[in-house]
Amino acid sequence: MNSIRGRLRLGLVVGTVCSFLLVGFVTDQGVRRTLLDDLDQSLRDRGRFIASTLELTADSLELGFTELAWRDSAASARATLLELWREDGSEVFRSPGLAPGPPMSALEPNEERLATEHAPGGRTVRALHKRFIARIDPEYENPPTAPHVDLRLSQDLGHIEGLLLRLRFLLFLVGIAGALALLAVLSWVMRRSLAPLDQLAREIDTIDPEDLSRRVSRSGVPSELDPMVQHLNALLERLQAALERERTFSADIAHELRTPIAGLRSALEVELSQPRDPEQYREALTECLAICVRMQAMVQTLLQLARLDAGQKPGALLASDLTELTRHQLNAHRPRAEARQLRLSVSLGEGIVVSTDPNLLSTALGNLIDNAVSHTDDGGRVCIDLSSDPKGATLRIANTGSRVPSDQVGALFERFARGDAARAAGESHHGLGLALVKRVADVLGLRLEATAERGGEFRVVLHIPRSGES
Amino acid sequence: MRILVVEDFPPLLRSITRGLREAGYAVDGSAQGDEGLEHAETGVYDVIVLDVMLPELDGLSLLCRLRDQRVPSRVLLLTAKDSVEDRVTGLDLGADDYLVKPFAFEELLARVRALIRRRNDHGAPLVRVADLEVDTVGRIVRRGGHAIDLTAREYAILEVLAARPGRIVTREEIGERVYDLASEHSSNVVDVYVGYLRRKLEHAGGSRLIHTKRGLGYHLSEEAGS
Repeated sequence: MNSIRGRLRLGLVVGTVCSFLLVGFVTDQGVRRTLLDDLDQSLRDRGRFIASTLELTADSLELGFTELAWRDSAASARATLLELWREDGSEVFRSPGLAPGPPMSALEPNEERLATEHAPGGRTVRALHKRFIARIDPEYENPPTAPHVDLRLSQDLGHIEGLLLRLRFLLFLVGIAGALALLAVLSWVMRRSLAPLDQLAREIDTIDPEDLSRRVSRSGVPSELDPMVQHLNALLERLQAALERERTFSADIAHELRTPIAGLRSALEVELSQPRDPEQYREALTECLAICVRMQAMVQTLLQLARLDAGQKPGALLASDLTELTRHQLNAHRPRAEARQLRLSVSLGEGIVVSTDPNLLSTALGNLIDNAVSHTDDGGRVCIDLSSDPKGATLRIANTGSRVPSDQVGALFERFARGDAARAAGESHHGLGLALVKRVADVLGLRLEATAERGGEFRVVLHIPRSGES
Repeated sequence: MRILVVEDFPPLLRSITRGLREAGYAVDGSAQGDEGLEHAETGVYDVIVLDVMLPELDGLSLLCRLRDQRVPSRVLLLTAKDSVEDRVTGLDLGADDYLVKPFAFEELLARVRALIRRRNDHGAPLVRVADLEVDTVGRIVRRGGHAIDLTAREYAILEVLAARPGRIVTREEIGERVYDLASEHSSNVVDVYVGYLRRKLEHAGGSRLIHTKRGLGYHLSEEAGS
């Protein structure tokens, strides 16, 4: 059973019933024991009294009390019945109406034995068996050896059984009433105690997945539930932030894709609006191709970001020649730098090897160099410096003509959050390159620092640990 | 009619500028907000096609400045954001119309035409002066039911005059509305084109409709007086 309420209810019922049964049983047994002990004691006392009064005279064995004094008859339910025999089996005394009892086991002189027996007539009796030596009358001349006498003193248990039966009945009534009262109280307490759970469930249910700004109220929440509510609110907070990021990102994607699509469509529509010479068509197609290339680069970067976001792990860590990787990326961007007549100042330490995922690292290197080449002022300078120390390698990339104010550097590494200056760089840039560099740095455990001054240099420093993730 | 396009994505700026020029407008383009504002503040533009996201000065701030300075140009906002809030914000700030990227170029042209009509205080796409009809949608000019073939420049001048029939339009104003910054012109050129226009309109023996007000400018009306 998975319901707390059900479990508590079952536990309560079983617990209550068990405790009442136990109390009833113990009470019943205790009272019975006490009554029997009391009866036994009284039988022993009477037995001793009778034994002390029996006297051997010259004539016979004489009881110290008149037979009339022991008038309890077998007919009476509460009677204490007495039988006395001599050792040879001759009867000394028998209560009126008492049928001879079962034969007695042999006892040692002065031995007492108490037993519960079934008497004739289907009754149960408590009986004292006793063998003792009768007193000899001091006036008896030449007395024989004192005879052994057997005594059986029995008391019907019907009375005690009746008392116990009433007691049990009482216990049963009290038990039932007590159990019902207890269950009612506990159920009420349980309902009151568990009500906050239902309340919480209703409150959680009203939270709109589209609007995660609401929080579950902590007022009136029992202390046991408070940590849960706090954790839930913290979770909501994180979900809201993630959803917000996701929404902004999707909106940004839509926004950033719409502009090039608008450019493509307008260019094509204007071009087709009237007949033109082949040269004009060629120009238009070249322009459209450039837009497509830009969109392709953007989509590709988005896919890389999405894969990294989805938890893509770096590939195998390989001993990678950082010098070679950097040179390769640099060569890929050299033609564009030359076309823009930029001065390249390159200093690559030879044979710098680090253990990393070369593909991901190349992506970061390519984007950093691309960024530098794209944002340098016309005729400006790009510096690339790769050095190493025992801890790892350091790549410094700087370009002149930065249009980024120093306080906006951080924003450049956020997705689509391009500085105004970055936007001005125009068609080839989609504002995702540096965000991808940052993501790769996170995944590979690289340290990334960037500084800028407006009109001066934009500098990025990438620290690559020698082995694996730092 | 003169139009300013402010859009930071160069290919889109190029194609809009080109498409509008080919539709017969005098068009200036700017890829930056601050530069766009400088142009717009001159007040010579009938319509400003304004991208919302711009470097240096964003489109909405630019729009606010224009409205503060009571620049009368009609503004068509061009943006990639399509949420209701974005549209409402733009319109509340004083934009006259809104177009979400990407758009059909035909729609851009139609909206620009509608804004020009509203700018010229008459909503009708067809202007009639005596037996002359100027259809500003189809850019067709008829006199006495016969179509007259005009060059783009001749039509542009006629449209400026037809925008305010009966009122005097100076040579300078015609020049501003018909020539963009890229073309060189002088008021003499305007006179030359007005001459061509008159010849074509009166070719079939119709009366003079474009009258000269010496020292002031031209006006389009049935009567020479006014």
